[in-house]
Amino acid sequence: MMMPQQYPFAAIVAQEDMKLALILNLIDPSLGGVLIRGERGTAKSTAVRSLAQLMPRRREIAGCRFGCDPDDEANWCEECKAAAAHETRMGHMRVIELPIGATEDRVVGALDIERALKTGEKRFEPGILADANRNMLYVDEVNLLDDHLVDVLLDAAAMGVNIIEREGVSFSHPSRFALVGTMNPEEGDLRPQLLDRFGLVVEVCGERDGERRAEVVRRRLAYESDPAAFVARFAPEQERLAARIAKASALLPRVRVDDALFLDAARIAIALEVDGHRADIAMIKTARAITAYEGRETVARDDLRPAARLVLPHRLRRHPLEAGGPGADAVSAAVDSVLRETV
Amino acid sequence: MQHHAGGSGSGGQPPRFLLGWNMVYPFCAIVGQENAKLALLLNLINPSVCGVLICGEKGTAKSTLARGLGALDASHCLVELPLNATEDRLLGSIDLERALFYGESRYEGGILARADGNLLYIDEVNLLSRHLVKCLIDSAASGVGVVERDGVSQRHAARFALIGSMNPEEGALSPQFLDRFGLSVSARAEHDVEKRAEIIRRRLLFERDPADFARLYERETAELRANVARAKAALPCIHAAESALALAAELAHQACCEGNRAEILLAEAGRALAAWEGAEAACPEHIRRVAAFVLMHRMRGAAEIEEISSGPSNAEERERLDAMPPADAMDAVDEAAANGHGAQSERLDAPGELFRIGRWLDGRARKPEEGSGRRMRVRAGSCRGKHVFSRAGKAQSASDIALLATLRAAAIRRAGRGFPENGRTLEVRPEDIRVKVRERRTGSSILFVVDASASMGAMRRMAAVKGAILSLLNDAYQKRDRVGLVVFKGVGAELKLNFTRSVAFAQKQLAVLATNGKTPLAQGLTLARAVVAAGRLKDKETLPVIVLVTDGRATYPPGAAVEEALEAARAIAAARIRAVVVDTEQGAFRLGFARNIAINMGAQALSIEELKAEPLAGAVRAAVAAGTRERTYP
Repeated sequence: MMMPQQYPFAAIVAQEDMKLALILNLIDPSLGGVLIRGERGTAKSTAVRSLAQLMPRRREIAGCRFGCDPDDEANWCEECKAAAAHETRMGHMRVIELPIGATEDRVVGALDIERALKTGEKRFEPGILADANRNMLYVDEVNLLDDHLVDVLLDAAAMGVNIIEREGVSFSHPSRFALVGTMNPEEGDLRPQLLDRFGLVVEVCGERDGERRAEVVRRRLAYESDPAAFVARFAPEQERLAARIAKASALLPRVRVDDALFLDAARIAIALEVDGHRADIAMIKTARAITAYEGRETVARDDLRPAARLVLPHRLRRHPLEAGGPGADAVSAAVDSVLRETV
Repeated sequence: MQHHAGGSGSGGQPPRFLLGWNMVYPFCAIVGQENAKLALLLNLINPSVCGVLICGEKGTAKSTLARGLGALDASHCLVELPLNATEDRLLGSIDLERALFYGESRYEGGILARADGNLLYIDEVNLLSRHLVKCLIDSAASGVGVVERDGVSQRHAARFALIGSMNPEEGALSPQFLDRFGLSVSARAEHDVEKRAEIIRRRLLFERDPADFARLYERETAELRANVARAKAALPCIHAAESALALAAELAHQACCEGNRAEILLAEAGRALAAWEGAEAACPEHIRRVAAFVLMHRMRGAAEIEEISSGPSNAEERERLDAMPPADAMDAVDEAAANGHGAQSERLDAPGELFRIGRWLDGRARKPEEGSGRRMRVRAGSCRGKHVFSRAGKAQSASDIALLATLRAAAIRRAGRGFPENGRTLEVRPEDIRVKVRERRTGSSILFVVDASASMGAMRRMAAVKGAILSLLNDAYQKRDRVGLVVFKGVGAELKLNFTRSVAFAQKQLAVLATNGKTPLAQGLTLARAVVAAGRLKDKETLPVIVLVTDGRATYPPGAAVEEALEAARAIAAARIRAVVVDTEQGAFRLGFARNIAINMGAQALSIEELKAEPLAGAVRAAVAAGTRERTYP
């Protein structure tokens, strides 16, 4: 039986913020991932899974359990470092899904007991964090995961390495990935500590516009009745999008940020009394990625606006008890006032 | 690291992850955080200072500081203890390979062994599993790592300096654990625009090319290393002057620190500071400057104060919420130090009555029907929670078996009897079975049952009540409890919020709670009992608690209000539901209705004053104020 073709990313109606946040993470994987908060049935999972089609191909070291990058020697796993020669092959960036009910052993990796018993070798059996290296890790319903699992994921995402000290295994390996999580806020929010570790957060809600709602249904039905045709219909748009993303990631290293913008970002963060400095850094990096996406080489002050919108609202809560706070409006107000002042 | 141009499908390079996973952000490149840096350096200079606890909100370079420190000193390395470590990796155990194939029971050291003579770093130390904390405290206190189980009996040296970082919002450390840290210091976000911008700039530069960035700070780093080495070399010749020792003793006394560790640490830290500054001896001034590092987390009662939120925050409130050391608390300690210099300050007995908000629910994790107070137990069929260690026992299900520990036990048993004749076949017997012990913060499910009748609104009582409930909510947040909210007023009761982990929802409901109407206490209690019963059906493991907030003056239904309320209370007691009554009655003349309800419910009764825990700053001020009064010599 043929696997059903994935719904094309380009065919998702509206939800521009969510799509942009995901695309920006493809352009700059160090942005820190995306948390998508929204009610049921808002294409959250569809968007993430569809993203795989836009992901670039890239070189990998053949046979490496962690998919090491042949050009990035500083970040090779121990095995690649020890090997004398490496064969390379073309691979693909992928979306790795964290299965429901994943246990810690499965996520972090464990001792290969079978091998230990058979040959006495103490070998590490990689887990999901190993698969996720150089890929995108998708966690659905991240607010329902046990706290300690979320901690493990966020730690690895932040440090880029998975350190295991469990059950006879003492091992570490590169684990650099963009973390994408989805959640329904009705079921309880993530602790602010964890929220802060996500680079971008977007809120999605059902389409309110009648015409767009109808279009959502229309497209879904068309897809289900003839997936191949539907995919073919959107193929040109998909290709354009993929090409645009590729160009943007190529452009990214050349994008320049003026000193003045660092000051602006700092002022905005101070005005909103954001905790810590992650927000500032994320704001600048997001603005940079947006600039690259639009094909420019210099970040404009106005680029801080969409960046702030994506990066700040979830960090406004200064204490675990404050419920969400004013959010997006406060952010735009602060951005406006800062950009106006220092003109 | 170079960046390559790329394009998908054209065989070019895809976006590159920019961080080198083994590159550490240079200590010297961290902007600001002078206090934290000093405390960490003092620790390098004088290991007797015994470690540093870095507290701060998220995103304030706590881990960066610790890891940067590790890279600074070539003779000591930084050994990290990940939060999800299991006990066998911390303490070490037998080498399975050797046991299986050579019949040898050879002990293989774990993280504690590696940490001997080095620095042990724990990120998010307030989230560390209780079991591991216990192992750590034992080793840190004795300087020895002990393993006694499964046929392994080992002792090894484990002298290490403990460095921890934590966000106080997420929970506090136990006093015993806090005491293991010599110094504590807070890391704060930078509010100066220029410095803040510089932080962003440097971070981006580092991410673009870590090796290059490190080179920018090479000279500074080398200088720092040299200074530390010089100070270390000078240390043995530096003594603390008599006046300094006297001041140390006095400060420790005023701060009501238990035992003598505080004085010793003050002296050691003072010596380290003197060495750092090239002085010949440690004088009182040095002691004064390190006092805050040493004393903040040790003041009696201070360790037991947890964060509370008393309503909408403003800048001042935020100040009070910092665990340690808030600026005014540092001033207070300084004041005490300055006064201690001179002649007259009163001897400080126990600081005023300080209540830990946690104490309102003793033995929180105890299930009434089970009686024993052990928090960690193997639960039949429960497969949630962190697996931290294993014990011999009967497995209820396959997922309970700790495979590796079981095999190890079998291998050890066999090893004890010499090399097996039947080759490599490993026989696993029932007595070898090791069962996973899962640690799960068994939270409670706390149902707030709030009286919102008109009488509660009188005399601004509701403001105090809301403040008290918010404090309890904050406590619930830290303990990962679930909360629910039932409100009763007028003629009935309403379930405003069913059990949820999001305390923010509860706080939102509370913010819009208005008082009006009569007091239908009976309805409130009946609804509460129903909600708890429904909750119990859904989740058998959680411990439900009813918190009734009222003045007890039932006035609805007219005529039978009090009897019905008492009956409903008795029904709750009969259903064996834990309950606490917060008596909001004010004034000199108390009618005691709420206490009566409490008795019928089998519940504890507390007044708001009894719930209140003074925030740390307040406690310090009180202590110091007492200390600056007249001293009378015994």
